[in-house]
Amino acid sequence: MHRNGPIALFFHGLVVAFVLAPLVVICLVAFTPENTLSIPTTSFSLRWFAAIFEHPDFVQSFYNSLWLATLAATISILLAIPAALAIDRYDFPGRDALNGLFLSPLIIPHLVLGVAFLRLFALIGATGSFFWLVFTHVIVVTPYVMRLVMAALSGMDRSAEQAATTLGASHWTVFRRITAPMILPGITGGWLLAFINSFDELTMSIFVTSPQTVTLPVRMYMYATESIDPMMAAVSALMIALTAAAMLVLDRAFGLDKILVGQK
Amino acid sequence: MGFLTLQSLSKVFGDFTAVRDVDLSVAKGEFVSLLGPSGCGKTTTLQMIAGLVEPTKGTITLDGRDITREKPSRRGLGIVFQSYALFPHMTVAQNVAFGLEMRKVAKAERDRRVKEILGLVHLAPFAERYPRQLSGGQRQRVAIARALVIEPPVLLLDEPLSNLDAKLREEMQFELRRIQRSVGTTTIMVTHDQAEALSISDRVVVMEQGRMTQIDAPYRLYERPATAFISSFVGKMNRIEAVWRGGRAEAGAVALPGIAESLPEGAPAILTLRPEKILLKPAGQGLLDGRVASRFFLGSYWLFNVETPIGTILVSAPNQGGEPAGEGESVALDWPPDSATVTAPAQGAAA
Repeated sequence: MHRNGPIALFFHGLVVAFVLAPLVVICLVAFTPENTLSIPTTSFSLRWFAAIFEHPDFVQSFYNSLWLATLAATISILLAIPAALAIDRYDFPGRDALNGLFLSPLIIPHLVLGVAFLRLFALIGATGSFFWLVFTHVIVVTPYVMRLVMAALSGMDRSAEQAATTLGASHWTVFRRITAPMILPGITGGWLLAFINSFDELTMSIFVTSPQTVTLPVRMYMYATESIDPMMAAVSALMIALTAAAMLVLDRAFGLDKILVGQK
Repeated sequence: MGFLTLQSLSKVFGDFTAVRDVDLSVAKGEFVSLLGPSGCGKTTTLQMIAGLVEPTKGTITLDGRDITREKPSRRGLGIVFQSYALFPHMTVAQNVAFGLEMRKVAKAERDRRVKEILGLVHLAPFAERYPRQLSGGQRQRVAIARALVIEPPVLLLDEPLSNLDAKLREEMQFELRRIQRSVGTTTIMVTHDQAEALSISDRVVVMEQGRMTQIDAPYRLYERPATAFISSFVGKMNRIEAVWRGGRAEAGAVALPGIAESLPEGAPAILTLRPEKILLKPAGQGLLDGRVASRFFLGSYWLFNVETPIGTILVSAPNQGGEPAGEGESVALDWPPDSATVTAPAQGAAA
């Protein structure tokens, strides 16, 4: 086992502190009793958490985001499974192109996507529709889902499928009874990653949301441009808690390394 | 016409011919092994029978029915994969029941048959375990049970023992034969392990570079290998270059006895001799004198490399309890004339 030297450990510590410090500060600030962004010194207060619920627009945006992320992740999975199966199992003309197409949203800046969709929706008169918002999120999260499902497929023992076939199972039965359960970790992991990505997507959403469909990150951004008060910190703390909980579930159920690195 | 027949079966992948004009007829209840080194086409042949690989040419018939183009799911054959291919998310009982479920066998009947077959492979107490909770040998028996429970006309085994350790492999050989005998299923096994093929098969089919070069009972294969390749692949073999003269094989200055089939006088020949047919005697009392160059103790027998004027000869002798000739000692080699075979080199080099 290779051990890190003291200098390496020091830098590791520095990096971790650098990444975590803002999150820790935000979470502390969320409990301040003051009216300004400040670290609580005398006492803790839940007043800014309570304040969130006095802003129905925030609550509405939270539900928007929740629905959006759920739908986007689910639709993305339903698209990615057949696509990944086709790319993994069959050799056909345009296979690499299709694979590239599915992964391309990963390398296009969300800013560019946002502007492009804004223009497109203006052209087809779809501005402000929740349906089209879901559509944009499906595009953005699908690469993650594809990666995980493909990793699960390439890591599975194909002979189990052959065994099922020779035992008399049809293609559909093989998929339902053998393939799907065997790649389930990839599917679940992909769904959760997609959900998290969609839930806190801001850059593109700024362009494609309308007052009725404003998502939580966009709502926070708009609020923060006008006024800075500790309620932002409280909302952030809640989102951090939510994300952490999701990651914890993911890790407990399947192991984060396995899902994110795609190792079996 | 056999129960399962292959007629001029071939498989070509691109410009590589994996299997070339294979003809085989397997009788009902017979246990046949396809033996050969990796890449000889034995697994491709098995996969064609299973329906997992489509033949380029030729036909496969089962009980008089042409199944060459039939889907694997409709052939109803039992297959045990090298990796066992168990369903990791199902218990042992669920794994075994899968084929019956596909056949829409009623629950009660299914449970009864699963229980029965798990009893046969001695896995009854493990029915509710998952494959990952089993040892290699147990998994292998689950795979066999899963393949047999559907009562297939033919059982196909793809290197079924290669993932087991040496001791377990030996035990499972006999276990496999016992199970096959008790259900009487026609069985075809692919293996690269000659000992495995010889010990449990009724007949062994040797494959070399996509062709079947000998189909014989195990002891005949061992005693009368058709090609030089088979003689070296199946067991160990001494090969001595000689000239056939006066009913003996002359190698250097010595004339050695052996059985030859119609060799012309003075023709070059190869004398082949199994190491265990050779007896070690005190120097001067045998056909050929030599010196023990090295000696290995293998438990049930000893292995000697004996240096002689005509080259190094491998000798094996059963362990009789005492200590035999040591390294550096002079010995004589002796053998009954009918245990050595003399053939023409061309025939011997056919492979």
